[in-house]
Amino acid sequence: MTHEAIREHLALFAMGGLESDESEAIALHLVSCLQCQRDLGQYQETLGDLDLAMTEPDWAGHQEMRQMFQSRLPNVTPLVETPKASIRTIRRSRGRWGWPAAWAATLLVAFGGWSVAYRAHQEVTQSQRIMAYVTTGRPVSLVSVHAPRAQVDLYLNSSHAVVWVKNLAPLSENQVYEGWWIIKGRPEPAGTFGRGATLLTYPRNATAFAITKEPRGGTKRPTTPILVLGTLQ
Amino acid sequence: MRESAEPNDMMRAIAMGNEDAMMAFYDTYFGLVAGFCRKMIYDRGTADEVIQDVFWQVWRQAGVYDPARAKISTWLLTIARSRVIDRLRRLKRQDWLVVEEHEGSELAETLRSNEVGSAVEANFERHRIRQALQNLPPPQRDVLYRIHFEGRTAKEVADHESVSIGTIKTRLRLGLEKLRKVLEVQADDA
Repeated sequence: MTHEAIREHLALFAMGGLESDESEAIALHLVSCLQCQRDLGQYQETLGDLDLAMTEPDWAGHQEMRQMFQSRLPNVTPLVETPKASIRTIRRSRGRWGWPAAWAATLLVAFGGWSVAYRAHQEVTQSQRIMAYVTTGRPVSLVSVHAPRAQVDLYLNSSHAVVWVKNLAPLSENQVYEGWWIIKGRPEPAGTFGRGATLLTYPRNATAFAITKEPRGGTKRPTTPILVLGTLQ
Repeated sequence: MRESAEPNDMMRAIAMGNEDAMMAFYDTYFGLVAGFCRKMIYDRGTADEVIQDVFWQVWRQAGVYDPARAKISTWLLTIARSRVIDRLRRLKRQDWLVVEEHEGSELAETLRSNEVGSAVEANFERHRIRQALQNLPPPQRDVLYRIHFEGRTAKEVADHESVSIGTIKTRLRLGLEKLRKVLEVQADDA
């Protein structure tokens, strides 16, 4: 989608009135386009005013729901390190080095180090994608009755998902976490990862997502008990 | 218009994992979030689940909030809207007949009738915004209502109205921009 086409769609995006694949394209564009960020902010402010005007505060059930919420609070820690923060770090480091970094990149390319420069670019792009998917995705909490302090979130978009491991049973040196999409009752490998945020491909027919510990490199079928699980539909 | 420093301090404390700050936030904004979610989702149990989801998202993502970009209430209602729409779509609420039944609701009446209720007039801010909405051309107001208040996609509305998606998108954008300009002018005059 071009910049102009995206601007045409921003009002709809602000309302959540787009199909999910269109929303993803816009979310990715927004990461790097200040003008569209500004326009979106204005739409959101107008819609927020509209919602405020149309909403009568409703305090029914406040005390009971408050108690339920508070009782779960100690088990879930907030994201102190956000994906946005990590992107800022990358951008700031580029800005601080300025021309020397640009020259270094040029020299790296000139002397065959293009793969290093390419990898740096890919890391920034990947962080931007993860941030976009976390921002626009539907969050799903993965839970375990055996490990109530486990904390893993999954953010679902139309064709991608971000799995974010914040607190989970520790891995030994030769282990990784492996994700499993449950499709028609059978586990299909979703990818391997460690702590932090990882981008995955999301098959829309998956009904649940689970994580196990597996040998480095991953396996085709789970070989250890499920650590956490979440239903998707 | 920006909110005072106090709510922003509360957000920073939440981002650092301060549970007292989170519960103070919950107490402050519960009425707003509950009012919004229960207005959009008619099933009380489902609406209450979404209310809790909204506050969980605040707890997890307070660090993402940027006061330079949006007021807390705007950010919070953006989250609430997103969670409500997710839930409605997961419930596959496709039956337009159900919606027609609700068109006699206070909200729909306000949007569609030419009069604004006397109860609303008591609240100047609400009245001002509802009046701006009333003054939109009916096709633009209708699209805004279908998408923003019912959680429809542009495609669903286009199919229902038997017009192109492009028409729906244009109506919506024009309506929203018009609304924004009216509200800006009125705010400047105030």
